[in-house]
Amino acid sequence: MAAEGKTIDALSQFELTHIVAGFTNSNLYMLIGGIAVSALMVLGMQRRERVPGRLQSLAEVSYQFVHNMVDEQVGHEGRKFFPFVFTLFMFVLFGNMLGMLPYAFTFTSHIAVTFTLALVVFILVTAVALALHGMKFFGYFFPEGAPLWLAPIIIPIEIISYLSRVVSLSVRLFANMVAGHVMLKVFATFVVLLGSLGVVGVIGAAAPLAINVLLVGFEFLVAFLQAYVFAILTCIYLHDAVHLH
Amino acid sequence: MDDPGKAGDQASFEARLAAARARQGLDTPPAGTDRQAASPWGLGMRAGLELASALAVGVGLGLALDWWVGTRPLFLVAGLFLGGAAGVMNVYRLMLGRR
Repeated sequence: MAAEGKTIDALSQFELTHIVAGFTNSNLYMLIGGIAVSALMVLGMQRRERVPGRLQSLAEVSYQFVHNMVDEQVGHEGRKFFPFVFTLFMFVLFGNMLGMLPYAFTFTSHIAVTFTLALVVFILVTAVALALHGMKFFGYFFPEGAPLWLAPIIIPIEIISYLSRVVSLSVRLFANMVAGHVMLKVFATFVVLLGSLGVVGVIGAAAPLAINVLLVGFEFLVAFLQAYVFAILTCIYLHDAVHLH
Repeated sequence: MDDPGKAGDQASFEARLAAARARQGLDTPPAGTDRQAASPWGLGMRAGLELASALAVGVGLGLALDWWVGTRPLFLVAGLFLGGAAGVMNVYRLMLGRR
């Protein structure tokens, strides 16, 4: 992997390879993620024990976690969005977590994927707001009581601010995943390069190895946190759409 | 099964369970639910991202409008300033906290 040539090749891990024409490794891991989420929920809840086992606990905890989040952030009317937020959260979470396995591909490290997810959220939120409030939705772009001559400035600013949600939502997830995996690869390459320098190098390689151990733990935190942030921002946007402030 | 004595038992059991969990520190609120509890580093990254993404959208919209109407620098300049303003607005809203 890293040892060929004496260079640090941090970005090759994000390259798409075609397994079958038109079906890439990214698609493969999306499929694995989808199957894993379904398997967790279906197999986990199959036995329906009063005292849950490990798998059932995991399924129940993740359900409860997202359910509470939707309930708290969107409010009582937001319950009908729970399936959507839960699917989104689990898909992103499993994408991030699968990426932590050695040799696995992290599909959330591609802006095309995260941007599409963010776009789905954005279109849903806009559609919900339009369906619930009709033309009043456009009042969102011009606060009541503002002087009318400021409209040519306020309205474009509000529209840009509204559109920038897609960008910030997608870039946050994408950038966090890329940054983490690049750091892991860079420090892993340090270990290999230093280790090839003989005895002194092997002793020196202990430092980047220790850092990498820490980074792996940190990356698990980031993998969970970014899925959480993605889901909670979706909830906050849904709240805005349902209540219009 | 559903006699009132059982229901009272259930309630006191829940209360005792909650007390025991609190003693053991098992019921700590999940981190990150509170905006104020976010780390300064995370908050800084978020503010920077909000600023930059609004600017990017403003410039992008400006360029697209210019390409469409054929007035190269006009909407680009307008989009640059409006995008910057929208970014400041985003950060202002972030800092205000919501609700």
